[in-house]
Amino acid sequence: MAKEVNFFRKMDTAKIKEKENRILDAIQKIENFLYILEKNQKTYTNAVNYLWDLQNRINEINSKKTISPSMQEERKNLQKELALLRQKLKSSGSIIVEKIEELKKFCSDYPKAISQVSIPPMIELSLNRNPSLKK
Amino acid sequence: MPKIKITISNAFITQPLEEANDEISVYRLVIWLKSTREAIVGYLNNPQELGSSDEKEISRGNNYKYDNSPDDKNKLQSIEGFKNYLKSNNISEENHNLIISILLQNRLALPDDIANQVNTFLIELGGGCGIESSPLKVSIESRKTTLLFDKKGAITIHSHIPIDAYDSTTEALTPVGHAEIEITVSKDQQIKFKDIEIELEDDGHLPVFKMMRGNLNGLQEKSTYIVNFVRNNPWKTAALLGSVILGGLGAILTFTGILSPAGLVLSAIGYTGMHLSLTGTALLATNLAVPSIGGAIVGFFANGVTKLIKKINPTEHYSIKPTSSHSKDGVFRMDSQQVESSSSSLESNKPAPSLGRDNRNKKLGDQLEEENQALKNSKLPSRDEIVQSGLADNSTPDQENPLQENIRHHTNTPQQRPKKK
Repeated sequence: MAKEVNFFRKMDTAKIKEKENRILDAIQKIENFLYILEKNQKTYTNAVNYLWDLQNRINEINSKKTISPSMQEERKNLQKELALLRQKLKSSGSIIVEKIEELKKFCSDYPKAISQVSIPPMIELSLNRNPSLKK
Repeated sequence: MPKIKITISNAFITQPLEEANDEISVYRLVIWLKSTREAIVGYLNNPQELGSSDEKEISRGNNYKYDNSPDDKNKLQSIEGFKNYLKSNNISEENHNLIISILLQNRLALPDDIANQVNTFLIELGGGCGIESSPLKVSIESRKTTLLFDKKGAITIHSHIPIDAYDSTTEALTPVGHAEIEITVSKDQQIKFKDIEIELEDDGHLPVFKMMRGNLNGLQEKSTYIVNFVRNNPWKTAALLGSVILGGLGAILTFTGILSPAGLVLSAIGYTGMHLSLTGTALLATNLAVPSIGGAIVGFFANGVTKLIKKINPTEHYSIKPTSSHSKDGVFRMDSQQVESSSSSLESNKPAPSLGRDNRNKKLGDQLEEENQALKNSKLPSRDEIVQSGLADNSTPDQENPLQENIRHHTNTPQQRPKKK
């Protein structure tokens, strides 16, 4: 009899443990998603800043009265870089927007699940969820 | 409560980007806060680009509020009225649309954007050093915007923005300070942002500022050179110290004669009646041994100091260097270079690498592509996973799983949170 009780106790503990793991797995999955999204947003912002550096440099060259051949070459290279980075930013931006939309939907569908994790401020701003922080 | 004043120089970079066509001018305004390396891109449009509700307001021709200031409300009754007003203030017609755009944007979005930006800046600054003491968020809302015109045809928009600390647990807002933001549009359409000034009550929420002020003044300003020298040249330092002490010992031995260790040995040997040549040998050996042992001890000690200083290593924790104005008037200023270097070091705790332009572009581009790929592959838990875990709202987790509360408590504690992959 005692052996049977122990057996069932072990079964219960195993079930609880399994459930606990499922919750932790789900939370970790959300946290990973948030982590990658935040990282991506930061890199995107850095790239945008750099895009402006390039644009400023080109404008600087353009504003000069006389442009030497070396400057023309530099401008050409800068323009090439600018175009490449702009293209990358374009595709990157659409992915980020898509994922933010996905997260927004997740937040509205599963508020209990999302309340288990802390959302980084940058993502919180993108989600625009907290009315008390807004005008 | 003591007040902390922060001035961020060159925080904003703005630039009119493009003109879409002859009728509609679209200006892209980039607000770039270097501390977080983030940019807000806002579009300043002329009135034709407004939404339907705005158009209605404009077509009505009255009661169109440009901002919250009662004085300006009276002045700015309609677009046309405002244009006349600008004209009467000698603002050239070609600038009218731009100024109206800025004002509309100011009313519609700009304060919010700036608020969010400053909010992020403060949170990241605190969090970046890992010493954020409480769940502090900052809420900023523009409550007063004033317009100033000068005789040269420039217009200045000044916003006074109170900053409130937001406590996520109680949802209470407590005033902690204010920011002053000023935008000037000159006659030749140049937009300039004045330095942003943020003044905060120091109630312990922002320990990072205190640490910067205390530590940096003392450590970096006066002893950076010495600390860096010792840290980078341990053996040189040991040799230097050793030679100084050896020189000192040599001088003592020379001038004190009988009191020196060599002199004592010499006397002792003399009593034994040994030959002078042996005494001379002993003197020589002692004179060599004492400084050598002393030098070795000093060298060992200097190496220990080096290791200790490496552990303290103040320059790697905070790379914002104090300016000469820092301690004189109690105002903490960061110029653009310092803010930029601080942001990178706050993120990684390492000095910012000086990458060339090509490397930076390549690095950013590649990094963006890699991270995009990771983001593409990254997925939120599926519906089944959420339901099975009991985190779906329609389930009753407490009944299903008595450990739910316990788990929630654990996962909310940063130290016990599962590690990110």
